[in-house]
Amino acid sequence: MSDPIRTENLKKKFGRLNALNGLDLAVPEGAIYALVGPNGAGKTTAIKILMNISRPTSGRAEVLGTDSRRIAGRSFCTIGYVSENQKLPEWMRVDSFLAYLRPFYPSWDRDLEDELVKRLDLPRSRKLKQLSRGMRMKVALASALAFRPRLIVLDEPLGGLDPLVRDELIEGLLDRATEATVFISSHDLAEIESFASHVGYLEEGRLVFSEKMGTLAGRFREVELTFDSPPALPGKYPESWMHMNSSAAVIRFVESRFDEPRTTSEIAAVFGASRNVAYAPMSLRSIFLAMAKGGRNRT
Amino acid sequence: MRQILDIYRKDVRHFWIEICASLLALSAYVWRELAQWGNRQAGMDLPNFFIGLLTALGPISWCLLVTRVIHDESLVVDRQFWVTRPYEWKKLLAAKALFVGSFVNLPLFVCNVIFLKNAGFSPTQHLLGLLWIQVLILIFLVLPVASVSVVTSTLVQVLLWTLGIAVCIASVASLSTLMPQSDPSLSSDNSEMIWLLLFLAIGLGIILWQYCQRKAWIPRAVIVGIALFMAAASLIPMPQAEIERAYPQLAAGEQPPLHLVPAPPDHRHAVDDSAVEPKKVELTIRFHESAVAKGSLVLITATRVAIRLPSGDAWTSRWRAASVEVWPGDGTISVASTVDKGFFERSRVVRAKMDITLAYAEYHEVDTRQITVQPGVFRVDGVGICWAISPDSQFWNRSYLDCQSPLRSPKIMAHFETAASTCPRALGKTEIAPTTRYAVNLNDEGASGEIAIIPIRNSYVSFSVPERGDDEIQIPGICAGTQMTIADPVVTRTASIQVELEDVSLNDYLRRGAGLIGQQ
Repeated sequence: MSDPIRTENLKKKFGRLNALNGLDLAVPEGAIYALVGPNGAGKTTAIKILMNISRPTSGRAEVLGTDSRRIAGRSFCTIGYVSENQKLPEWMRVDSFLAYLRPFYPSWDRDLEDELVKRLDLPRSRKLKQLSRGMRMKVALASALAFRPRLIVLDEPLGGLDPLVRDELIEGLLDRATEATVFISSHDLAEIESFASHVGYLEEGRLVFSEKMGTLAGRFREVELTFDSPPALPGKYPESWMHMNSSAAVIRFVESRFDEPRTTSEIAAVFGASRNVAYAPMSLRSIFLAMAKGGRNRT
Repeated sequence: MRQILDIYRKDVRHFWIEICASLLALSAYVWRELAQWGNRQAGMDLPNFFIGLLTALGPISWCLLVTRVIHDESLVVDRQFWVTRPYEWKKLLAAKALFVGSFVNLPLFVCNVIFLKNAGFSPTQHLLGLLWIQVLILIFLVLPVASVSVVTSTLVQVLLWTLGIAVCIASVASLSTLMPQSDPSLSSDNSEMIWLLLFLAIGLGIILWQYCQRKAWIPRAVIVGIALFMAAASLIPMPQAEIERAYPQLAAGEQPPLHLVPAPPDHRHAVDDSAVEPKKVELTIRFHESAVAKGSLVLITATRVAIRLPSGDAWTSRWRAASVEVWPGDGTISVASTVDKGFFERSRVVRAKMDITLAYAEYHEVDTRQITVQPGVFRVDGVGICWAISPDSQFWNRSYLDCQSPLRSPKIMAHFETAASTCPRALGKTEIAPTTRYAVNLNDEGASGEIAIIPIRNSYVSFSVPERGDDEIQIPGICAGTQMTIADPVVTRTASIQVELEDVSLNDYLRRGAGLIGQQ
């Protein structure tokens, strides 16, 4: 089966600014794919192109087998899209908003709608403009899940939400994740880490890496070397080592291609004998920060 | 269809207050007008400001409704939730069209029908005309407002765009006053149709494009381009050749429909030195006219004057619009022309030669029918409902036929013999020798003039006064029982004739007094 989302050499220019600079992305079926990256990396631009809200300057994007430039109308019967920037019809009440959308979707599941409303604790009789931002996001999510989409695309859905609302949103999302592919852009790395199956890191419009969460967590380590006396920082070392620094008799760096026997032998080759070598797993946030700060050479 | 109705219902729910306000404003307008009709033009005690407001509120509310309903699914910003929902653009557009049809076109249609019925006309007999009004309201109100609304996202933006377009057109058009050109009223009749089709095509194109593509910069550029084009069009001088083509010179041997002999200048009034335009003076040239055939009217529509001095110095005016009616029978007419003040000052004391070219249209009565003026209102076939304004003790020589016509003001030619007048004779007045009094209504409102909530046109024809007002002379008019002839005027020919005035002093023709254009 083809990937629900696939881009090839996708580029988007705003004047002289390259918002996307040859993005090659593949989101596998059934994945919960988190697209992370610093502000201005091009995450929202990429999603807007995927949803045909804006057009690419060049390159190609496919969503559920359809060229993104043809995504319109009925295509959205199988795509649920939620964005923090979306303007909802605020004059509507929650129940009238859901009732309005119902006939647009042949696959709308009324029972699932009720379940989502209950689970997300949505006040049916309240107008959308009377709801908090978090509540409005939950309404948007409920309206994007109730028709059992094949693909759920979420653009920064968790930003600025309190932990309780965030948990509710994620729980609502995870319930549906078994039958859909989820593509989510977010800064909330701690939350992403808890449920994403795949992660892609976008920087300056280019995908720096894209892999399974387990693989990513497995290949990044914080390495701490302890020496008997303060060592000199080496002039040459493997490209996969990032942010090397020393403090007294300790040298620390981030290994971005961790394989214990190989890393151990590379350390021995660069530093000779050390008193102690410690490898510590890294959180997604730490990996993100290490990547964002920029290594000498990235893998 | 389901989606169209769902969107339509949503819009009705959202804008029910605006809809009610619009219907209320329209109802108030209809109620006031009908009440006024009931009072037979007596008018209700409302300040003029409120009457104007009431008249404008309906169309303003329609503009507001069109804008609001389009902005509810804005086509400009990309943050609208509907953009990523299974909306089909054709159905969205159809839903908006249905809304406009329900709350702009239908109320207008109902108002039209109410007024027609109240005026005594059958709406079913005028269905095509009523549908034409619907087309015109779409072209002149809905399409322009919708075109601006689809490239904006807020009401403020719509106002700013409208203001910008208006300022652009007004400012460039104002430059046209500084350019020498012929009178714009002489432009050909089919230009309005061209504009109409252009508006229709561009308006529809912009709306379809935006609903289909949502790329606002292209239609925005088109709107700005159209505004600049319209403004620039007003700067283009009308080619003289176009007037000369429309009014060709008579061929050698062809008889003109009227005979003109230069008449002595009129010295009855004091010289008026105030220039018509800065650095211009106005000349008035009088002619004795005769030979217009019975059942005809010659309408002088434009004039041009060329002056040659013995020194070889010459000056030729541009074409100037006129509206001088020349009826059968002898009479005197005046035509006017402006001359540069500098040229006039140089030549006022020398003898000059003047060539006056008169562009005219020859009308003939067609489909003539005899009617007898009834007391009160009476029906006139092909015209509508009319009533006579007869002479009275205060206005001895007035005679009008006032008419209300369905949808548009008809062109009418009318005449009656004064000998057949049934009006009472005034004591102490001398009655003129039997003659014919003529009247014509050639009002051409154009397509835009037909858009109205009230589809009834009031018009009148005023019968000519064969001799200048002498309070002691009675000119019989139309009263109940007077036989008169009504006909449709048809243009049989347009051409121009030239009259030469040798050895004249321009000073004698300097404009004197007011109201010099017209038969005297």
